[in-house]
Amino acid sequence: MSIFKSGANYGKMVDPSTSAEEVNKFCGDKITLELKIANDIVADAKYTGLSCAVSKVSSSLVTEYAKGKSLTHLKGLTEADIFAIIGFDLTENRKQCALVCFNALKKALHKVNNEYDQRN
Amino acid sequence: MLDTNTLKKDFPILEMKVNGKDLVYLDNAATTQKPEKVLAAVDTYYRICNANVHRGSHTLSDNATSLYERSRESVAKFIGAKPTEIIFTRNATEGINLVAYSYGLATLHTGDEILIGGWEHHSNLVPWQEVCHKTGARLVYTYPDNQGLFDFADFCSKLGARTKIVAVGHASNVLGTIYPVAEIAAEAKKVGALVVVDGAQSLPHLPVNIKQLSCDALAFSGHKMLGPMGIGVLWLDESLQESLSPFLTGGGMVLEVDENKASWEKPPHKFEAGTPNVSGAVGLAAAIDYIKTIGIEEIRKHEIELSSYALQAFADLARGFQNLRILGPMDATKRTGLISFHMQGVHAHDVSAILDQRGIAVRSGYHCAMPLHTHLGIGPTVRASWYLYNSQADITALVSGISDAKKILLA
Repeated sequence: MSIFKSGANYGKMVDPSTSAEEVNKFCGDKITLELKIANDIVADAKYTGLSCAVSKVSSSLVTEYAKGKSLTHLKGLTEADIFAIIGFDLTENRKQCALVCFNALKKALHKVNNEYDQRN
Repeated sequence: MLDTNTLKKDFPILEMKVNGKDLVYLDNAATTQKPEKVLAAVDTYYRICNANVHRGSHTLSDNATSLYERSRESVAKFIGAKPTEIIFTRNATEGINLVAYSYGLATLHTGDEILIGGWEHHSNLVPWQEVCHKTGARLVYTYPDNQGLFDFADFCSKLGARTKIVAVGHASNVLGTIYPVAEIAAEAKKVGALVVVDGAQSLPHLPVNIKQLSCDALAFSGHKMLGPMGIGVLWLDESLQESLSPFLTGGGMVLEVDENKASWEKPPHKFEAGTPNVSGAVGLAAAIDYIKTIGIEEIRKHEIELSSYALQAFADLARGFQNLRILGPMDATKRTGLISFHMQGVHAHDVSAILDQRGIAVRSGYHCAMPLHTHLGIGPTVRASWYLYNSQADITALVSGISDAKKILLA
């Protein structure tokens, strides 16, 4: 509840390195994730958009977790890792809410990869 | 009001406890619970009647065919139609797709228009979008007025020589509003447009007679009217049936097949490819029998009384909570048995999760009507929907749960 109320990492970023939008499959809510990347490390992560408590808390926790981690490490994360990071039980339908930010993160990392491939 | 204490006993699932609390089931616009008679009809079908229909020459197949066709007759009678006009589908969505593909795709051209309600469920919206993408036709929306009622002037201003199809929901699954289908159809006929009606939210709650609606097609789902899932109905006007090509093809719908071509069975079989959902049809007929025993007019009266009670309770709640917005008209006679609401600053999922902890089942989200929510300028909403087995006590539990959710989430 305190993470939900504080809304950690909620907000827009000045000059992000990359961003990705993701729709919650459960309901159609949309969030935007922004990442600042330096030397293949996530220096900052923020999100905006309409979301329920589960989606908001998981987005706050996932963005917090991503900070300081290497892109390689983040690419290796699985859904099970995300549920472990979140640390509370969810019903089958609400698991989608918990994975919105993670899915946006995967999209953002994919974009970074593609951009890197195009440059080289 | 109906004697809900007695009625509830007919529905085994309503005796359940959810999260340690008595189940208060208020998600009837999504699907309704099934009475013992429907469960028994499906069970009996598989125990002593099961066989494939129409083609078998043995006794069981003959019995199954009779049951299937009797179910068709029962559905026809319920809406004042001929049995040959009743096409069994999986659900309302499939019925609308049938018309969209068999009629829309075959007749529409660039520049033609399909006029649809702004309150449509995605089932009566996405198939038309697809037809537009494939034919170059254009989708035109008529939105309800600020009370959620039909905007006749807006509708008429958008109806014209280019309008080839008018597709409307008889009742909104978000606003609850009942729309004047007969008047809509009368205007649409003046420009020669085909009128397709999504009756998924009206058939379970209102007396519906096809002759009074004057539409060309009406689709609805069995599971929203006490029947099993996976059975739906498309009523298609007899004159239209002959001219339409089948939507799905294969076994069961053909007369003769050679290596290169096939000829079709007579309607409605022409539109029912493959082995049909016989147990579903039998279950739907049992559901209609149950509804008839109670009386659809009595159900309507019961829902109006419950809706009046709920609208008053919500209005009282809104007085102490400015952020609560109730959608749709405040007159219970203009709506079916549901209320959707939006709480500024509180997400609909969080409200429904708190209600679920109290055993109260409601729906939250966009209810498959995203364009309507966008038009209203709101995010996801919570929807509570009642039916013949719900009581004033259920509404009281709901309102008290919402009050608790407000305290928890906005503290």
